[in-house]
Amino acid sequence: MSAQRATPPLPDPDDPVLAGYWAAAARGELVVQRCAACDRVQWPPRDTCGGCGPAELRWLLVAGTGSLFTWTVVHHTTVAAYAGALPFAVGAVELDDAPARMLGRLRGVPPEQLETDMPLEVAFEPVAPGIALPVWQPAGGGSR
Amino acid sequence: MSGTCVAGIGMTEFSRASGRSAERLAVEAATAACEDAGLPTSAVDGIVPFPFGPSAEDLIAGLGLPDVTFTAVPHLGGASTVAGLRLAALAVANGAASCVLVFVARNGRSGSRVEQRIGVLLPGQRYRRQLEHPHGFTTPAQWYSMIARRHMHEFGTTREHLGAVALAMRAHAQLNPHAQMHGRPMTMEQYRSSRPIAEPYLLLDCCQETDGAGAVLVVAADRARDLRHRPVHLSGLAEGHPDSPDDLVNRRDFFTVGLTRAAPRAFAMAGVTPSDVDAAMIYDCFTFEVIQQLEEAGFCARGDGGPFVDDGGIALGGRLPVNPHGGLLSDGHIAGMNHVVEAVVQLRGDGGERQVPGAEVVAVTGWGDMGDGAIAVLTR
Ligand SMILES: [Zn+2]
Repeated sequence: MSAQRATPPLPDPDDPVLAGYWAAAARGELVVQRCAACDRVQWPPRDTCGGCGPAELRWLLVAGTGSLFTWTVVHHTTVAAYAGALPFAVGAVELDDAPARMLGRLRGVPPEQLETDMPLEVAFEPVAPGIALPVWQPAGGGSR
Repeated sequence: MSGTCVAGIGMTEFSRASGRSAERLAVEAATAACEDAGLPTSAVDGIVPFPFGPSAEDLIAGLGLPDVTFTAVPHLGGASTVAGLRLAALAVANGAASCVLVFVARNGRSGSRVEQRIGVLLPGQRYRRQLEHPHGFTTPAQWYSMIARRHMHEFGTTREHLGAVALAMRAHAQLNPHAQMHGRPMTMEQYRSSRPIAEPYLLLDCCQETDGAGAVLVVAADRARDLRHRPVHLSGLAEGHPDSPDDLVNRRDFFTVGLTRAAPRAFAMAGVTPSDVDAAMIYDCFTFEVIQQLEEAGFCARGDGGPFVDDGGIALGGRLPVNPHGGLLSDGHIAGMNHVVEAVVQLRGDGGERQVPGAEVVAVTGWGDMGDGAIAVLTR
């Protein structure tokens, strides 16, 4: 099947807003965005602060742990590269140490065993040279 | 909007393959709306198209109009139809135009399908492309199923509640010969055994894709009185936007959407409360969105939407009949223009077998993008 050879959508590691996030992920670190002026954490990252407008924005290292706020189990996809992976789950993970919910693929647990608020930890999946995708797995449950 | 009315309604047939262009469908629906009003097409001097599909220019050319004095394009995803109705009313109330055509036309099944179309129109393209698509997270069913899942956890909403919405829409479609699902009744067992798409959403939680068009004409009330049908007044109109309107999961109050903010404004403008509403046309892109919008519009308390739709609550004869035409789920998906048309049909008393007896106040909601909302309160 061509589905196996199809290229999955890749992030742009040079994106003007998200480059720092992808650089951190490539190092195995998870970051969120914080305003240097008002300390407001915002996610997803933007090129301005929702609190004070055109301020300086920095990256804040977070622990990479959280809980499962909600999720969907994907059985039908329009992305050929994922057709071979069905079904898979994508969750919104409420971070333990920052006011942010991150979207990411869930691994290391069958979709039918997912539970609301279950503890999760981030893992970094290499998807292309220099690009790693933060995904989530049960806390203490797998290798980084 | 003080002193504006819907004076004409028009629709094409709904199908999976119209065999003609979306531009032609639009002109057919517009012409039907003019005939319904008893006005020549040359009376149209304002046009509000849907953000995707034929443009105002297409309609000016297609109807042979010498000029129009007002055009505007709302950008609220599926809520653009109701938001566009409001733009039309604003234009007429302010004298920018005297007869505004609002229309939706699409080959939603045989042409550019919903999933592909919506991908490029959404706000927050950076997040969609970089933070979502690489995880395989790409479709409306996937985003909105996340809200449904959390609602089930917090409020005890069940699979049967979602199914009750699907069954009510399908039962209504059996009373509407125009509906794509007319003649195809459905049981709870058929609903439950439909294949999963984005759990908790099953195939039968998802609306159809449709080829077809619908159009309405908005004019001043004093003009509407002299036209063919009983005027239907646009008594309250509002749009609203959620926090982080470009990102669905990071709003502090997860369930507060645009409609939460728009509904009180529309009801206040109309001088009515949700309990005065005789029938509601709810934007049913997916089953759970009906439950959420019933709550956020104020028809029931947040968390009570599941029990509200249960036991025939939104069926004809229930506590609040919803979408007597069958909705997007079972009539067809032209971005809710069929909901606006059905509101007018009901307020004229022309619903036939599916008429809500004595309907005097009808609310129409729109839901789009990452939770943008719009609402219209129509009265006779
Ligand atoms: Zn700031």
